[in-house]
Amino acid sequence: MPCPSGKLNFERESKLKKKTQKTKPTLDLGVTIGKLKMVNPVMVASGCFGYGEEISKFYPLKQLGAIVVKGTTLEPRQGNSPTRMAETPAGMLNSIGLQNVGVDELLKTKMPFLRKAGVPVVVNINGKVLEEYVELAKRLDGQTGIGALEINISCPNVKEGGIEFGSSPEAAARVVSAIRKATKHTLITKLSPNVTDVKTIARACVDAGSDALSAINTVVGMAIDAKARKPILKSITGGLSGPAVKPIGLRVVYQVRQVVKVPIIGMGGIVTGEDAVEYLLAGATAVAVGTANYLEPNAALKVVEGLRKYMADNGVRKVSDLVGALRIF
Amino acid sequence: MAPSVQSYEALVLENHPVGNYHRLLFQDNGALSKALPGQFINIRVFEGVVPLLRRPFSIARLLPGPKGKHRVEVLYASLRQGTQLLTDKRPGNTIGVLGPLGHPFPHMDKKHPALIVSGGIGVAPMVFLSEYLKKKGVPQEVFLGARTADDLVDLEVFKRLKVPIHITTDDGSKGRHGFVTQELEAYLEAGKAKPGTVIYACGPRPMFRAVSQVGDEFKIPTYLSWEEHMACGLGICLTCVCPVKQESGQTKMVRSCYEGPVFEASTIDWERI
Repeated sequence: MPCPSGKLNFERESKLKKKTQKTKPTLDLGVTIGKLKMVNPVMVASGCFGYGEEISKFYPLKQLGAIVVKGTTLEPRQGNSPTRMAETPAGMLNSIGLQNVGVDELLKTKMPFLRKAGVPVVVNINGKVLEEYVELAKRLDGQTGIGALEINISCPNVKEGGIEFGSSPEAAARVVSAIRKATKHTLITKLSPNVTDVKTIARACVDAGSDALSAINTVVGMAIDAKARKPILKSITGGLSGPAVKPIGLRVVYQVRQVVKVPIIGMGGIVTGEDAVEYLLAGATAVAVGTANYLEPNAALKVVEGLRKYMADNGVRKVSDLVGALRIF
Repeated sequence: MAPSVQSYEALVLENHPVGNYHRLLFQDNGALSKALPGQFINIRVFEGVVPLLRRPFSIARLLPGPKGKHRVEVLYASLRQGTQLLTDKRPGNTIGVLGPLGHPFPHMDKKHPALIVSGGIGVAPMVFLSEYLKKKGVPQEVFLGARTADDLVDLEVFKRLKVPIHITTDDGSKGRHGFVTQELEAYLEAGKAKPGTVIYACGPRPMFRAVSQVGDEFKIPTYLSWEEHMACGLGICLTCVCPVKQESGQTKMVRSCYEGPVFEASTIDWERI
């Protein structure tokens, strides 16, 4: 619109000038993993964000790359008896035992909320036996708002849990290939660090049809109350998470990157943007924030901000340029 | 959890030992203006990762402050690393506060005369409750239990309220020698409870069990301010659950931070604890 006053025109021009001067090349944080399209590579890890309802009161969830919802089973589960948590140096042990609302309730009440929130959803699926995984995959097939399924073959906290599938390449391949036949969704298999050779298992999952991998699940650990001479967790052992496990997570992502070409979602101890960058350098295409969500409601957003800052400070325009960009001496 | 939960930096105003415990006073930003007895806050003592997690504390008192923003009192025991670091905070330092969290005690009205029962540092939410009930004109009777006289904190607050106080100590150094639940039982046996009476209790696990039995015996609804290992306080980690029996007969694992921290004793499935 033409401005009648020269003074205002001058002001406008100087404002425009300022704007041009300030404009930096836009950062490209977008990431695609199979059919999962994300505005940035920062997801929130399964079991560390519920179904998003609580945190949605603090910030719009669509600012996240994706939400991986609480580990889902066919039937609702109440999980383990308390005590379920023990704090350890730079970390925590948990033993929730897959407490979740079950797949029917997920589809009935949680998915409508998440679809409305406009954030891609990854459903973490768990079964006691192969048939349960397959049934879950079938029920979730064709459901809108779901960007991918994450196959949990590595939960350390349920007796009959998926960990048996996660500890051998043959069993892992069997469950992945059965699920592959049951759904068109993008499949991510979540790897356990509690194995002797994670590379063989990773390769077996990819060969069986997994479109991506996520690493790591929690590290089996234990905490003892010396005074009482008792384990702190009712289940005796639990899964360690938090900054204490970051070196293990980085190692697993780095090792797996050497043997597979599919995208890896790196997780384990990410608190800052720089932690996320470390995972990307090790070979992850995206990352997930877990335990840090417990420290600050907006922890995952801080990771996004930190990542942006790193990119701006280091002249990285595309986040994908960081993936696997580790310099080995 | 109400949508008004906030995460903010708060200025420490006072922090000093009281007997065997500690009293912290910080400046609220307004987030806690409408907090009620039984609600709590989760405090981040340290910005780094050791210790990693926040520490949950009951709101012990809301004191009038400048511009309608309260000063908040927290009573705490220095037990391990987190609370020990908290004792180092000096006036002018800041702490990270997340709150108000959880639901308040139920009832808190004139139809429900209150028997307030605390053990040790379990007195913290009871100071707030007692002051609140006094303001609302709800009849109350306070039972304070402690290991020893130096464990009795904020006694002067209860005295100023001019409410009937019963004191017991495990070592007999103050009040009656014995457990607070014995004193409560004696009171009820004497038939002193008015119709509609409820019990509000906070203390260690063995006291919870004992007070639940007393409540059960005298058919008095008993509300416990539950304590469990907790990570987030936000309702997302599912660590702080309490096993609660449902009408269906099923036991559900219910979040202390979100649906709690107050649970009716008769609904707790003690076998799952």
